[in-house]
Amino acid sequence: MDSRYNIQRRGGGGSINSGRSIGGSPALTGAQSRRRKIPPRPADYKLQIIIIGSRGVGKTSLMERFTDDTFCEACKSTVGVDFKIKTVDLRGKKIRLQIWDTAGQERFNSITSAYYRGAKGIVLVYDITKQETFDDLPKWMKMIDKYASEDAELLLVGNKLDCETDRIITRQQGERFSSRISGMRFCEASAKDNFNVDEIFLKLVDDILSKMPLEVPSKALSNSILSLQPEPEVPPELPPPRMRCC
Amino acid sequence: MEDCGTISGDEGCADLSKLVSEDGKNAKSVLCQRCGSKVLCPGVAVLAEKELFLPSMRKKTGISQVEGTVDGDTLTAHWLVDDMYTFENVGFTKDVGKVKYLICADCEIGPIGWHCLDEKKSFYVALERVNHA
Repeated sequence: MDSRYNIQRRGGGGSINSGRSIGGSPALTGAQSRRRKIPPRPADYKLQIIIIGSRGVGKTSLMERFTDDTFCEACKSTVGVDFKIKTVDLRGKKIRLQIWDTAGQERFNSITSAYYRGAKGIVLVYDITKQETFDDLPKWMKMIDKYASEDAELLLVGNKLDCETDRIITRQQGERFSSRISGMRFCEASAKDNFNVDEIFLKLVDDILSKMPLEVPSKALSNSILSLQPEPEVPPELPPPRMRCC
Repeated sequence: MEDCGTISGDEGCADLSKLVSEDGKNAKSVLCQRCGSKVLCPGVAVLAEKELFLPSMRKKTGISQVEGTVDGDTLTAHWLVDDMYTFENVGFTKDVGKVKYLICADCEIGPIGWHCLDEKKSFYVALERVNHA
């Protein structure tokens, strides 16, 4: 992987103890004070990405960094994650991804068309150890054909590469499936050991950027200009509140 | 477990001046306390005072939760941004009433912040629930 590809995950020292060094090490403080003079750089692009696939294929885990400890995530277990903003640096551009995980709404028709319509990138996931998740792919493709924008980038991901011994779907089967769909990329990944996970988003974003106008005048890269563009019709940035039982 | 959660709280308040630049913005990067994921770049958020209740970041263990009560803190010091795309990395929970809680995008610890669906241009991150570097 090219070193210019870099998903921004850790800022500064990045250590969980960095709270101790409030006030900072001399080096950090220096860097900070220099940085403060420079106006914060706005995002160059904002892209919506959705992750779809049958239940249990590991969609959610593709969105998060695998952590080995068993810390209780109260939030996660009780409420669930709606979407995430992640920042990627690619081709010298700062790209904000709004990533929607559709977990919990896996029945094909329950994912609203709004999710598909606004998406510039669609990650379709199956589990290499579960035949039925691979057999479901054509149904997911139907939904994509029906609702997604034609120029949305598609990436097929065979997940759970860490369970190689239980593999049922060969790499070739995945490749064959994706090769029949024009413009669809394919890769295998393991969210468990983070294999290919960062690359999935970088690949997708790279493809999306390739389709964008070659050189945008530098002024057009500011937030203010971006916000002058017509609002995307759907999905709304925050979907209307769903009915809840409690 | 206890090595990171409580530190930035008290120290953070005592050293508020170090965290806030002259123009009222965050002088430092805002990071996840647990995994270091970058939430905000320096200079993009303003310090805002607002009393917000955030459920506890730790699940109660051993004690069964009393129905209808949520363990948590009322916090007043927050970093406020008006556009969700200002964040470097952040996660939004599903709606809890009219609120979406903010969590770490990478390790999903949280809530670290608060967003009300009625205030479309206000996203709060509690100083006590993040690190600064």
